[in-house]
Amino acid sequence: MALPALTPQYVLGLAALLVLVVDAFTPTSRKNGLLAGLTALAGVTSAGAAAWLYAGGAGRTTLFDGALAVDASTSFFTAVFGCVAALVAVASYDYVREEPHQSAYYALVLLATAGMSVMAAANSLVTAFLALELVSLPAYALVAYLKRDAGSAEAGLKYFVVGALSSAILVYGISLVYAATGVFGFAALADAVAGNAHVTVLGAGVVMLIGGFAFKTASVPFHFWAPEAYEGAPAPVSAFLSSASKAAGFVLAFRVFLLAFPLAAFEALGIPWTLVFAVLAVVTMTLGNVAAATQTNVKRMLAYSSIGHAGYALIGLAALSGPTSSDVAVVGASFSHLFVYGFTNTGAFLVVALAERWGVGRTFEDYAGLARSAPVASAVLAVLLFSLAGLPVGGGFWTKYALFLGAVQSGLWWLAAVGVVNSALSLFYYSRLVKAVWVDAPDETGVARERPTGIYAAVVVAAVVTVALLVAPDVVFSWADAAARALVSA
Amino acid sequence: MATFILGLPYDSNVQPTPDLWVLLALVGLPFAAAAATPLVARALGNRTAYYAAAVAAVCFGLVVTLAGTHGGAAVSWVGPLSVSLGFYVDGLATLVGALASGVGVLVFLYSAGYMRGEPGQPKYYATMLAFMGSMLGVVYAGDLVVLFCFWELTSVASFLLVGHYSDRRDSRYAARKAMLVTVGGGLFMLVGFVLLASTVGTYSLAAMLAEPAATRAAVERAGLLLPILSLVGIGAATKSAQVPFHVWLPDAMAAPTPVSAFLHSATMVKAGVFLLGRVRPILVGDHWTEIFVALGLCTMLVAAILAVCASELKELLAYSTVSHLGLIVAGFGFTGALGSETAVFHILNHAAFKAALFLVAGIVAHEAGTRAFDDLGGLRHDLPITAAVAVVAALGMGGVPPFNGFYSKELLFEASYEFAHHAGGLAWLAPVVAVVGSVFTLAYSLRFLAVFFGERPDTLGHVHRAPWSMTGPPVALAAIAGVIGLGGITAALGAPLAPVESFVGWVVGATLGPEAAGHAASFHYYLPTYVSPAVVMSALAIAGGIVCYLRWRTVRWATRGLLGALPVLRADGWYDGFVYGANHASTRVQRALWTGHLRTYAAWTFVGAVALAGFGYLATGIAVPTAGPTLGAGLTIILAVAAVAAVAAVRAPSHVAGVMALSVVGFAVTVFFVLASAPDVALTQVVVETVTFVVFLVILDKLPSYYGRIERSRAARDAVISVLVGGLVTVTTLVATDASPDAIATYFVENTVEQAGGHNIVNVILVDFRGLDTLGEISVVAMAAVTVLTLIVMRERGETP
Repeated sequence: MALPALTPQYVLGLAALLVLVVDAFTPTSRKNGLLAGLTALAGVTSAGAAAWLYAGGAGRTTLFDGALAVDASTSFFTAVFGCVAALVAVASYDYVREEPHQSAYYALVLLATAGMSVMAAANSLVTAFLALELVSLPAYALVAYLKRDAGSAEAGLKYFVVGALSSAILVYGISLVYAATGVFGFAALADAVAGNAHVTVLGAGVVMLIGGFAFKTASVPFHFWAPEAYEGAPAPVSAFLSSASKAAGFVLAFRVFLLAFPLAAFEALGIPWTLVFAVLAVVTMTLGNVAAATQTNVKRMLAYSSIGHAGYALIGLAALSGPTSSDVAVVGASFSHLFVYGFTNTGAFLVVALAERWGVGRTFEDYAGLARSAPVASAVLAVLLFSLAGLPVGGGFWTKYALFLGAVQSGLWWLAAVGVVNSALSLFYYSRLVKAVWVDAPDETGVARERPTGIYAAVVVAAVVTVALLVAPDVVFSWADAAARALVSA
Repeated sequence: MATFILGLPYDSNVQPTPDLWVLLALVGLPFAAAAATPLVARALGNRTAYYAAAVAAVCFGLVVTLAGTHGGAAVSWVGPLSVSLGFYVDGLATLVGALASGVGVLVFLYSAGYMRGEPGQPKYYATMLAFMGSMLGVVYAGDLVVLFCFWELTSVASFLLVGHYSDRRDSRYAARKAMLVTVGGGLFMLVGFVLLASTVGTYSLAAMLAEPAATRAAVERAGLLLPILSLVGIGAATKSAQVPFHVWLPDAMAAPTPVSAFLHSATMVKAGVFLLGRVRPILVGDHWTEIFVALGLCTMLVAAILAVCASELKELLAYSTVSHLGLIVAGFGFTGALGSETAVFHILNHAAFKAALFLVAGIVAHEAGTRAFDDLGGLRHDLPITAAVAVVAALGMGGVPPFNGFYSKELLFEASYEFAHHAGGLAWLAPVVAVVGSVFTLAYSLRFLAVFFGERPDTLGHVHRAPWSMTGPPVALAAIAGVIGLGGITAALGAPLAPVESFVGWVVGATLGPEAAGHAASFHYYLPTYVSPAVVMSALAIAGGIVCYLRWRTVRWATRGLLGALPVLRADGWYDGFVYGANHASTRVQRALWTGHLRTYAAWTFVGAVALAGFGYLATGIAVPTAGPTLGAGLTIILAVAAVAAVAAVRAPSHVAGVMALSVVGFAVTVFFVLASAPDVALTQVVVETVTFVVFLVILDKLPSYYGRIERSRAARDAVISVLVGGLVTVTTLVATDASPDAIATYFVENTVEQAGGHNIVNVILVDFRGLDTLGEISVVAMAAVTVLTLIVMRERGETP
């Protein structure tokens, strides 16, 4: 059966509207389960449709006069977004059960997911920006969802202001690129930049675009919002933003820089943008990991670690060197890293959501001895954290390994060295949390914990997928490889 | 000559390649068993130990069935990274694999008594089984990446096991320390592996070991021999606790004693020396000898001195383990077969006597309730069997003939003497250090033994007999050690212990460099019946050791004094310095960058934008156009007013005054538009300015009127940032508007009248060229207006459900 190329996007958008319609007709009845189920179903369906489209292997389909283009990278990332959205929705079933405005919550999640999957299909700077805003605006509202909670409201405000600033810089960059080239479409840009006469304007525009993407991916220098927003936001939203939204920022950056700004043409113009990404990667991973080392708040520690992971993923853009095979390898490594990270990091944040639901507190000390009362969740947390650290207990090991290997093969051995040192450093703080949960003695013993079905299901699925990707990573690697190939040799 | 006739599988010249499924079962079974442990523990309770022991016994059986095979077996794992799930079986793998599973059986049986009634048993047995699987994975890995994976898993398992007694602060510290040091070292090792694989072109250990000479040649051609050697060496040194990475092992004694016996004497710490034996055929050479002989002997001496200073049983055993691992490393360091024989034979001997001694220490601590030397003595009456075990094992550890440790130490003396004789000069230090180290070794071995002899302190209460599940395993280990020791006597009488000799010979063959190959399978050990340099050295060491023990108080006073003068020997400083330094740096970064203030984030965002754009300009070699348009007198005045108003806005004493000044800037810009013949734009500007002003006033009502003084440094920083941002925008505007001819403007000038029939270009663009956009914009504005209206109306009705 030949599905329309944008099926996943349609599914998500229509589901968002459906959630609102359901709410409009039954404003007073309790329907948290229905809405959560609808959202999760839409996420899984869109991921499934993406996989179906990839299996169909249609190559690149351009739509709407070249404004959107669907290829293997679109389906790859749409699958990530769909899965993360589904996990988040299932976990939210327990998390927002007592909160008002549930329909708005689920609709915003779906809208943001739809925006992400459009980002993965963007083929022009205009659609790219629109999709990015379609992600950002719901995200601001989601962060501030617990509006009676001062932390949540403050986080939402800060996120919004920094986001608005970054959007302004992004639009400024787009306008400068347009001023230099006169076109928005990626393919047209690729032609227009070769031997462009307005090198200075183009250069300033391109680096400002990097700034805009840095905001979405929580990379230096626009990473300041991340710890605040993730800490203040409801934990499932933190999971959603730090995994899916980050991946969306990356897929857009990859699409723009691989399709619209070919490296060869830019090196001829004297704008080696890989260097910018290399510097940003080093600073981002170092800053994130160093700042994470002494956090006392678990959620904040995960937030900084997610900055560190943005640094790793940036290697995919920094280590491009020209030859197709090595470029495909390193971009594919970055893609698969984001895929694994999507599950692992979401799972880790959802364990935090579980702890918030139990009311165990937010700091490492509060988590002490959690393994006694909740062994399953604690085991899951240990697996997820060690996988984040790059230890071979989860798929994170392979993807990190592939990234560093890719960096070495492009001659950026120093980047790989910094990455390895950072990995060691990250183990330092991840092990602190594992130690707190498994080794430290609890203050109170024998607390019977309730087992919220939704969150438990979500974290267990996340952990199972993480471990499965260690044992059988080939599925993801080959898909990521095809996705990378679609962009590198387009 | 009478020899035992036993058909050993590896004696045959044709060895079949191992079956992949057996290997997968061997490595996978402990993990599967670990996953099932929580369920099993629920059914079996305290008897879970027997379940774990059964699993270990099955693994041991599989190791034995694999002993007849040689070579690699692999299945593709990660295609794009060309990593395969490869296994490799040879003598060395069989030796260490047999230790991991065989000692595993004994340790699990011992745990049945030791851990009885303790909390957290499912966690304990699951982690121990997972550890055993990881260790078997390391041992049988035929691919560098596979080796690394299991290597790190052993560290993770050790982390959880060391931290088993979670209510103790020292065990929490030790757990993390052990993991950070060993995992960090593992990362260095991984980098070394990547370099090795990139020069050879494959990750397959099996392929490399099949052609060691060619592999080495490839590495030397690339000039990477020394880096690879150092990186892999760091990995091995951290795992095997060599100086200065030995800091974690004494702390790791916070683990339950069976864990110490299993991980920290027989298996995990052997992973490091196993790695050396594994890559030895490829990398052995002059550099290899220099590095590892120096490292090993230095560790042997330093740790022996530290062991003498120890005040309790397990601490002594921990330092002693470090010292003996140093001996093994030094053995592998020497080129040639003699060195390999030293190391391989000592791996076997050390596992036998040290695991036994740990189990003895566990029995003593369990039954007497203390591990401190000062509180213990005369235990032979209470624990006669344990005392017998301790005699066999401790004399083996001390290297007293005819106990088993003597023979491997004798081999070390022989190897070091030959090395010194051959190299001369500084190399003579090697036999000297070896003898001095052995003196201390014997001294502390006798000290350990002393807890069973002499006076029984009055403070010691009643000591129970240990149950059989606890005495059985050390007895078995001591029996093995004793039999090996007796083999030396029978060999001197002409009847060597053929199975041990041929087995060790087979293992040695797996660790020989290409030039020494063929020397294999001719290993013999016996009680010396003639005088040789090694015998003289042994005699010196034993005499020195006995003298030291007789002068124990003086020696301990001297070594403690030495340690006080040279605290660097303990080497905890670098680890603590690193950890606390990292903490400190992290806190400072955090304080400087994440203040919690929005203005800080905005400031950094601006700085980031300026830095990025500045880089863009620098990279493209900016040339700012200097010839600006000339302004008339009117425009100059207006702009001057705007500038003055902008300064006033910054310096305004109150919010309201600031907003007023700001709107003066806005209206000046409006006038600018009017004078520049753009009345419609000016009109828009007026509206925007007015609305902004009103909004500001409404919000100001809700804000505190006074925030306090701004610090000078922050004001200066903000000033610099604002100048930078302003400069960037100015430069960008100049550069962007410099493009000539202006294609877009020209297009509209040429086409407005002709195509749209209008004379106001802006109007034509709005309603004609971009008519659809305008329609969309109007719809959005209308929707926004409806929303605002709804909100206002709803506010009157209160919160909706």
